[in-house]
Amino acid sequence: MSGRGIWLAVGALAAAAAGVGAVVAHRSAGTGAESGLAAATPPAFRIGYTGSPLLAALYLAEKRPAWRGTDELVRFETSADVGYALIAGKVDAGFVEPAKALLIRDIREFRDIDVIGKVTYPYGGILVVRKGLHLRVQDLPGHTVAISEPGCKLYHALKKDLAWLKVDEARIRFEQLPFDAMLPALEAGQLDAAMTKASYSVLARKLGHDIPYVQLDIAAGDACCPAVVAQTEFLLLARRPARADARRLGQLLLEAQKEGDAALRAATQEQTAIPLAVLEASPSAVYSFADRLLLELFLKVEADEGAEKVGKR
Amino acid sequence: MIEAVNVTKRFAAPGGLITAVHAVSLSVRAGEIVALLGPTGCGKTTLLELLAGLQSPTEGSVTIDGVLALPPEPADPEALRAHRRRHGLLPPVANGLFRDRPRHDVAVVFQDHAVFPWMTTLRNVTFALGVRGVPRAQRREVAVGALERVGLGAALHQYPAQLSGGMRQRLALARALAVRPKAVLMDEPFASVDQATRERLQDLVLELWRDTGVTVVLVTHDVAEAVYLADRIVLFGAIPGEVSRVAAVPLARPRARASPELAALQAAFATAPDER
Amino acid sequence: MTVTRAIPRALGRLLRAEWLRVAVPLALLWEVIPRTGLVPRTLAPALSDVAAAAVQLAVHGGLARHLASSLGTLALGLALAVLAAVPAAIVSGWNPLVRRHVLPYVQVVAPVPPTAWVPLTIVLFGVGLPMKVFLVFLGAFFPTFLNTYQAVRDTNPRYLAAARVFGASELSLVIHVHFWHALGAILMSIRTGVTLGLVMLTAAEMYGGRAGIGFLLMQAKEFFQIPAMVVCMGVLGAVGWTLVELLGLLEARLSVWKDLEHQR
Repeated sequence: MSGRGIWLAVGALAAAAAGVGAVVAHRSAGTGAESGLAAATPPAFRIGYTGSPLLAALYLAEKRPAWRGTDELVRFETSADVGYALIAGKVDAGFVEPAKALLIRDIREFRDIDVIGKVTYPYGGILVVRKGLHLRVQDLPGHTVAISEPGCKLYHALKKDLAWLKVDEARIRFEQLPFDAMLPALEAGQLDAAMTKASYSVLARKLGHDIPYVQLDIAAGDACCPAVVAQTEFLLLARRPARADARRLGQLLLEAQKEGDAALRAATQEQTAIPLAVLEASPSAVYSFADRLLLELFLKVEADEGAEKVGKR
Repeated sequence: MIEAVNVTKRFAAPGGLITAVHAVSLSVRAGEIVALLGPTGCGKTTLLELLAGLQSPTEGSVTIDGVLALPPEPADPEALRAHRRRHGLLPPVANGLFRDRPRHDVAVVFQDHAVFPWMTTLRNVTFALGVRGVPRAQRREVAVGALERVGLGAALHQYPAQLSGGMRQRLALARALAVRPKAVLMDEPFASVDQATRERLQDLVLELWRDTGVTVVLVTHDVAEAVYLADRIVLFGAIPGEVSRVAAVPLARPRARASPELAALQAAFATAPDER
Repeated sequence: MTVTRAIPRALGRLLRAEWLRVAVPLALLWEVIPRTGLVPRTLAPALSDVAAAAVQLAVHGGLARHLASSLGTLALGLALAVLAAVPAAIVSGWNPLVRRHVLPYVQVVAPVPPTAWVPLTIVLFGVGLPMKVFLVFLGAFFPTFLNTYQAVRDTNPRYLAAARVFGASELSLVIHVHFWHALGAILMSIRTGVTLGLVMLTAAEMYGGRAGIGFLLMQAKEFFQIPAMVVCMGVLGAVGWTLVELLGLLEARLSVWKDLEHQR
């Protein structure tokens, strides 16, 4: 390849880079909606979600008359995928797990994204035992059990009850895993049991595992993890231009919740194909608008980057 | 030693059936050198393979040393499949399934020598010996002896790709003769080498023939070669697949290539209407 | 040429002047363009970000552990595929009866894209090691089988006749003629199988189990670590390249006698 060829290649690459830049600039300037049809009908409001049973209010809201024809549910594999879609403008709002939401915040485009509301679940711990093993708490010695960390409140609650039942705790093999990794590891056969958050109870039962131990008498929150985050299962995030629609959605969710657990469960069963019996064994999650505490948690970190942001709310 | 009685071979082809060999009867005596002489495409290769027991005739029979080589099989593919199914024959030659089973004491040297390129010179010969049932302990010795006889003693561990054409042909010869067959059948073995090498190889064959008394059947289109080597010449003539005549070569050995008697015989055979 | 000398030699081949002339400007662009902010740097990392993530993964992220897991699963799946495909293909190529009973099934199942097997495999095997090994096996089996089969069918009948005339049994023919004659094609088919096996390994690791480079890739995606994703892709590419080079080495060993084939 001669010298001229090199310059040609460099030139082509530069042109490609410029093209990419142009596309991105255009994207972040627009709302992400189809500009052609915008004149006649209101633009589509797309909501990203993962099909979790905890989003019962959303599924019920979709069936109610207040739901607009232009409101659209878009399903994703994981809430990280919802996050990517939100960043790219492919959805206007989405339900994202708090840990992921914090990571999204670290990506620069988050300055365009607002926290609208949260979905919470009663705090507590459950011991999920892999299907087929049929272990009781007393049978745990000799098996592998996952915990999120040595200081975890749920783990301490379990230890207390193990001592009360005179179970030989030393013979239990404890392994550390993040909460959302526990069920997949259980499925893969790498664990025998997991001490995880009560919010996973529906999923655990749906997969066919046993839950021999439930401890809901635990106060959420500790020094490193405030209650508002510990209990929060999803955050409703929205792109700033779609803020109004997102608040409207929040209202729809509050209305839907008023219809009661039975209606919520029926809608969840339709959307996720989880059997009613499994749904009825667990309490429902609750949507509420983001409160001061939650916003400060997010705002606090944003304020570090530039104080002028605080006033915008 | 090899008897062909009224042998016919037909092949199935897109147009119908082709007759490669038609009603040939031939008797090869032990210890003699017979040349099958004719132009390309006259069926002499097919006849050679029939005589070696590599192909089965459509009609007629071939016996090697008194034992039937292969029973006749129909040429039409449908009939052939039915025939094989009935007799449980694995195509195309029913050697043993798991155990090597030499059926006849013949060896073949092919036109394109067909030495195995993935085996060294030595291994090519020891493989043949192994198939023939020579005990492992003796194989190397016999193989080395045979290779030295043909002048390949220095190339024992080379691969055929590293040998010249003439050397490969010598390897094929050594492999065929190492197993001490009663008959060796050669299909235009020296066609692909130059004249000087060809003459040397012909003399080598004569030498080996003299030392071992092996029966030789040689296919060639070179009249000079046939006249130089053979005791009898089987001429393929105007009609493909048919023997026009069998003639004896009454010259005593050693024969001189440039002698007038040889030249005269060459001329006699050459004028036979077989040049196409 | 021993293995320990061959890899550095192959790398030396890579670092030739021609390759460098393209690679260095590309690397510079990769470093500079993300820094200009045309695309957010967190979504399009610069080369230095990727390098930093690579170090991070290697030191803290257990990169070596996951790489070992991936290689182990790959080796197991490939070994099973080769052990199953090569003999079956040789026998199918050798004997029309076997061929008639085996080949149709292979030809019907082979065109199914291996990734389409993932859901069924998860249902049958769960999401542990057996599922991953099975998917790698599926990816590698069909190309290996079909190419080996074809090579054996194309065995020069001269060699078969030469062996038969000495009285070789069918088994001797398979071992001493068919196999060696087809060896070049067998290795080439294994090379294709390795590439496809690697694809399936990545897919399998993304779906289940909790080890391997594919898993690391998914984790990086889940936690918005784009540079780590790039590192994983690079590692996978390096693994594929190394395996192909190693197989090429083996094939080169054969060229000692293979030349004769091409002279015909």
